[in-house]
Amino acid sequence: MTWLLLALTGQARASACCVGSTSSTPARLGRCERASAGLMVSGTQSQLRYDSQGRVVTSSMTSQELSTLLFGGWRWSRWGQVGLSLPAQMAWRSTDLQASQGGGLADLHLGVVLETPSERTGASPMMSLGFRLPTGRSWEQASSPLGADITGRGGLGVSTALGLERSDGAWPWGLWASAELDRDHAWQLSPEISASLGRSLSPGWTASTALSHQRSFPLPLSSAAARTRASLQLVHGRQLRYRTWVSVGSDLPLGHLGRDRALEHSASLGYARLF
Amino acid sequence: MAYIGSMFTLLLFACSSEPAELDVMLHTIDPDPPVAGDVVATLHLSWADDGEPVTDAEVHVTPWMTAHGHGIDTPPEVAELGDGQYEADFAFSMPGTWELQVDVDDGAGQGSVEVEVE
Repeated sequence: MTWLLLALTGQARASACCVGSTSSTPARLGRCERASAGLMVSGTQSQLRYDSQGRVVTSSMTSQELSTLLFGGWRWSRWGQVGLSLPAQMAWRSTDLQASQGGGLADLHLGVVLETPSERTGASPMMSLGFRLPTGRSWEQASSPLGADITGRGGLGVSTALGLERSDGAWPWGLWASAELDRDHAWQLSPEISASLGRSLSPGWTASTALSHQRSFPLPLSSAAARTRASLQLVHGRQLRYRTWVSVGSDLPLGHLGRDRALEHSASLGYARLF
Repeated sequence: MAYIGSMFTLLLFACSSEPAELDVMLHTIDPDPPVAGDVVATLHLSWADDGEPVTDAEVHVTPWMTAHGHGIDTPPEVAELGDGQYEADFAFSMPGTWELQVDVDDGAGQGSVEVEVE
């Protein structure tokens, strides 16, 4: 999930500069940063899946995706920032019987983040509100039998998150609860909880790890898809100059940690110019 | 298990304007077990109230990925084979639990069956 990846980017960076500010948008800004613009490139591979009983089984379909994300952000005050991201993706999918590929512009994201950092405690509660606009290609508009050219949900999505972030010395950490409501042909609610712990390694360098669990309920509430994901990230940056990072993540291939969805492994590289 | 063979019912018969309940059974599917991509499924349809096979009906089949809230881009082609059996030709776009929703004669009868796609 883009939200988590970029939230962790900011979280890991926080100990090196201004503590506490996080974002649910790609242009995640620290408290001393006024604006950002950047690019992230990600690769995702899938060969296993959680079945309807929560078991990890081999999928009949293998999938590889390459995506790029252009993003920018602007902070209008110490307690608020806005962000915008524009993703594009290319996917290759295959089974024993057929293969297909497709891609294009995906769904555009807009987000607002409100933060109330406390100088006394060092903790920073945050709240975000995000919107996903249906600029991608939905399943109804797709033509690939394996869905390789599906790049969007086809309807408006609204997401919100509550979080608490803090840096105890060289150990930044964060806890978040988020939920997304979106509409394709049917409404779907996807709550998620996540936690991260980082460590400042040296000036400008931070490593972090994160764990998250997400469920997706078609509405009216019925059986949910689920996933549990872990990630590692290494961030390097210079205050008000740039930030760059590498991240790897995977849905955990253990039984009953997910349901009815593919297990994905991913890696990404990101760069942000900071102002 | 390649697919869940138990029959599901969606709607109860209440009055003449509401859909009648259909019993839907997945008779065969090729390939078996079903996988992502092209499949040909044979469904046996019968009226739940008297068990009579559905014949000479206009049948629509909608594959629905229940966990993700979406369908497929191209509607299945459905052909009647006789004696309540109908053949649907379509493609599952991903593995997982799918629901084959069946509608006969524009809402006169409805039912569904679940399929686990490997």
